[in-house]
Amino acid sequence: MAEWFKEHGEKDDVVLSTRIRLARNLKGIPFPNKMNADDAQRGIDLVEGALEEMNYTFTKVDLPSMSQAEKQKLVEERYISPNLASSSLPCAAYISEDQKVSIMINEEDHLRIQCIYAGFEEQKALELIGRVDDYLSEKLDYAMHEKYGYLTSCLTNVGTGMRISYMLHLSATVMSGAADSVFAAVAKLGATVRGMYGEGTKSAGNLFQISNQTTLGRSEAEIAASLGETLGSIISKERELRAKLSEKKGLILEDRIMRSYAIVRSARIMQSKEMMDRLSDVRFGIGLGIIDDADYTTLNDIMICASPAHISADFGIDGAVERDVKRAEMLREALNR
Amino acid sequence: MLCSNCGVKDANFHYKHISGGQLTELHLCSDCAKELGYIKDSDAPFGLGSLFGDFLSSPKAPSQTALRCPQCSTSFDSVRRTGFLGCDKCYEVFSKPVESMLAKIQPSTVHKGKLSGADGKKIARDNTLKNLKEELKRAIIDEKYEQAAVLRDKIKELEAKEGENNG
Ligand SMILES: [Zn+2]
Ligand SMILES: [Zn+2]
Repeated sequence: MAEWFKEHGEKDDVVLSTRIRLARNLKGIPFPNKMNADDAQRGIDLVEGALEEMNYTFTKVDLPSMSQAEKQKLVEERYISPNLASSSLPCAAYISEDQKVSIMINEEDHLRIQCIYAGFEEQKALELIGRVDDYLSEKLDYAMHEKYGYLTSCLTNVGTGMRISYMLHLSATVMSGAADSVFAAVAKLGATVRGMYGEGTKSAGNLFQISNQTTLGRSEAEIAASLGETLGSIISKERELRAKLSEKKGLILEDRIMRSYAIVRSARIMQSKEMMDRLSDVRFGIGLGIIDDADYTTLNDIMICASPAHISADFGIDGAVERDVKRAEMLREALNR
Repeated sequence: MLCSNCGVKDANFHYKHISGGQLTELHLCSDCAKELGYIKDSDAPFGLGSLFGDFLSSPKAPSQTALRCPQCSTSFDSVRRTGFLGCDKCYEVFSKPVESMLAKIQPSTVHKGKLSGADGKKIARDNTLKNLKEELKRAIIDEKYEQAAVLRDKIKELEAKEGENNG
């Protein structure tokens, strides 16, 4: 099976990915912010023992033996977090055979179980992560509280320990100057928005992540439904604004989109930030039907595979300029088919 | 300065405690000082000297209550500053400030989601039992005896199962 970003998903004109993570801890062992190396190793051994008996195969990622670029590659693919990649504690990561689930050990919590799909796949993700968690909870002694549910090291995760995040492409919302008001409305509904590659509306590539802010007092289904509703309104607004922009500024918009498309298919040097911005235009063009010989999955794939650590690790290229040359070459190859 | 026990109210009682050559400072609000036995409930606060004396002579002085977690040694001060706890035990040790901090950042302080694993299932069973017993009480008060009988049977059944699981 392929990595999540090489697959199709629902509503992928706006939603790039659906990610759910559960924070879990083991009874009687200090949380990672307080644990020593022995505690950390004990946690790894316990989880590894539990995973070995599971009929859903996980492969261990051997973090200690990996170069920083190789670890960073997993961060760019979003299987592990930047925190884990730079942790000084003994830690570990496991990725499922279908590459949908990853488990981080000794990140902020003993276990961070996460599940990721391309597009909008709330139900599939909830179901799969629920199954993995059910299995692990039979094998491991989770730290639980009669009133608060699952205990976590930070109080912002207590209860369900669940964070659902959608990565969204909001080009029309940003271009129309509606982002601030949309994000303010989202915050009022109890969700958090942040730029994927930068702060606020300056996010490169118009990519944003929206997630539930609170974890305690509502069931997993209620949290998902409420965030889903918020997401629904963001999607309709974005689609509505895309239609409006295309109607009002048809030719100017088309010109901008086709220029960006021409550049990513011809450039000889391409910086990461420019790639994100150009691909945002191309993505918009696909959504409007102006570009019909490229698809979302190709864009998702190249966006990740041409990230800095991927180029460094896959081609052994360290210099920034050489990387930009390689990136341009990869874009030409991916988009001139 | 906030009270080092509840972390909510201002501390207006300050204690110094020396044992084994270690100086421990304790800063409490009046409610917590009462609750922990540093001042007597009904009386107006004593002068500081007499408080200090009381504290030192009191055989069951609740020393350093909730100041540090015995399992991971996290201090209350760091919990309050960071919102991070050091282990599962911290949730008991710092139960009061945790409750008030959660109330500020979460929509409710009662978990409503899934409960998995042996502990989770036990918590779920206990919750169900508690709810059934409340319902039973209400049914009896309302003189709904048929309903009460049904509830009583359900409770018996659950309690029997509980016994099996424990045995
Ligand atoms: Zn107090
Ligand atoms: Zn602790």
